Amino acid sequence: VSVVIDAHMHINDRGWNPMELRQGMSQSWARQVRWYEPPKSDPEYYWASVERGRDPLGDKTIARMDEAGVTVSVMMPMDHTYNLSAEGVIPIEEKNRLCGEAAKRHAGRLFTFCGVDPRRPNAVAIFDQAVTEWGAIGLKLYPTNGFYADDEEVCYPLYRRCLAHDVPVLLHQGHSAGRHKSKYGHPIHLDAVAADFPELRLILGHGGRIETWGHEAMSMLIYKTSIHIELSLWQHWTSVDDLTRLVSWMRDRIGIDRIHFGSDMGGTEVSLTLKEWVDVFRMMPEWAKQLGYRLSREEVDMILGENTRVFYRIPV
Amino acid sequence: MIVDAHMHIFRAPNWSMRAQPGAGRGWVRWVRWYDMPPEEAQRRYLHSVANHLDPDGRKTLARMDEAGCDVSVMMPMDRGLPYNDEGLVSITDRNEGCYELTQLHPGRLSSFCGVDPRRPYAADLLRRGLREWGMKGLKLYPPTGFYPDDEIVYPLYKICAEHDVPVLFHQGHSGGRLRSRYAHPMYVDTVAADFPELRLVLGHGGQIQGWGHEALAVAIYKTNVHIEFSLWQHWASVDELVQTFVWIRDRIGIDRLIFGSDMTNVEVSLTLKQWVDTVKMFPEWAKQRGYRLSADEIDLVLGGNAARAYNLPEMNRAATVGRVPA
Repeated sequence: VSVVIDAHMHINDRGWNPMELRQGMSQSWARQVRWYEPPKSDPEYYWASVERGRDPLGDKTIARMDEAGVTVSVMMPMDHTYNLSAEGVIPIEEKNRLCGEAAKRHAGRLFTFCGVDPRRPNAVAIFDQAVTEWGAIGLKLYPTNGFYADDEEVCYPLYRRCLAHDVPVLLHQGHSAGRHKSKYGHPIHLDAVAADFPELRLILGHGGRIETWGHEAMSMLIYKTSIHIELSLWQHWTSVDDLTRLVSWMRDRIGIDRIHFGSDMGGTEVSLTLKEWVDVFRMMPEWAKQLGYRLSREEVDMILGENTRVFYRIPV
Repeated sequence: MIVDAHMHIFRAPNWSMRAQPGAGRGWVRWVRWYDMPPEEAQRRYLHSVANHLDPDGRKTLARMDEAGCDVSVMMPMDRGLPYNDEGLVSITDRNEGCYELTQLHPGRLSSFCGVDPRRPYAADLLRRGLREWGMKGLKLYPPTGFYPDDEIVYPLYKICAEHDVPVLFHQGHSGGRLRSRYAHPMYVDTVAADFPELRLVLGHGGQIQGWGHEALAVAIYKTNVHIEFSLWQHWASVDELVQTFVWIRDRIGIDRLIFGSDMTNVEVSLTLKQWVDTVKMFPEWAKQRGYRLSADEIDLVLGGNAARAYNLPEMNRAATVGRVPA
């Protein structure tokens, strides 16, 4: 049986993210996911599900993974407090340490990246400590907080540390809600990073978001062969037909080995549950056949886990 | 209640930009005049341009009456800087001229204040427009050469926030000496992040053939951003319009979709009446295509949403027409 790996997900607790993000995110999410009917289209409904999803130890996450048949999940801590208010939010070092604790508690099932805003003067030190002491297996960057991924002064020292530690870097890509600034999340900035660091293992988070810059991301991947793509959030936007078509397009133009399954779930299961999202991929060979494409079981297994096992070097 | 939330009146020659050789060539091409010989299209365009001046607004009112349009909102364009202002009526005089039109036709004509933020007196003119001339918001024209998220514009946003009035941006590609890159919707996203309470309107909805999807992407994630879809009459088929409206209703919300014409008495491809009538047909056309769009929703698009977003005094009337979402 092949492994299933969720390459991009979150665990959360109260005080892990700024309340400044609440209004914009709730309003946007209540609308944009497939929740046209009240009461689900109410921002409060969304926020209540965030509150219910608090899971700092990862125990609820493991239960959801078991239900969905997910072997391993990889946490992507987000550092939002360099530019947004840190009031009532735990320090980023603490958040990374707690994610490391959750990974230790569920050894072999949960792994974590280190999330840090590269503009912090001690960003490199935080990242080094996360990798060496708290068990982080990669770097997570969130450019829409206000920096470009190809800003040499800001980001390149961290990329050099990624090469030194021999770990991958995942970047949130695509538009963002609330106080986040979308222009920093345009995939084109990864192109320059890939040009300057051809050995760096880069993964494009949310695949640029299919509803916004997904096609720009896919076009770039044709040309920059060191960049991988991760499909979390596409569950909210693509029909099964579209998804099957896009995956087979990427298989042909980019290569099946660079496509990764992810959920972005953080205790909130919006539009699809984790199990339903995994099952969409499980059904894909059958749907492909009905649509006149060819996608093998083995290819889908690579997307669902094998690619991430190899790319993140997960010991399972 | 029907509101044309983005239109223009030119009272005198040289109100907008210097006439250039070749002006109108683009329009002759891209509006729906495919089926006539190029000479005929050019003749029609020049004829309507020759007749587009409307010193006292009477031509505009006649067209509004014909279309059943209650209120039209003028968007003065400050395109002087890339044209060195040469031969142009000053932007202060043009704004005051729009104010005079609102006085000539109270309750029917309304106006934004249009000014280039790089002018040293921009803030003063905007304050005067809002306080003395009763203007309803700020119109910005970024392709003249500034990004909406440039700090030079921020003092104007602060004034709009203080007065609780919206900002409308020309969005999408532009011709002549205008530089399109400044009109990419992603720069308005930054403004929305910095001013979450400010009502922002993406004029022309990014122009559906250019950055329409980029505009919608911003509106998905920034819930203070509105889509105003003037110019779509030249580009989108009925199928595309119906599908896009349904999509916006479901993913963004019908309350952030706003009708406009961008007409200047130059009625290319559709008249104002034809454009209003087209939108009114959407519930019927949606049904034929297996979608659901209600007449109440279209009422909001045609007027209720603009009345609320622009805080038009006629808003109370709008409330009786359709549900105004909180």
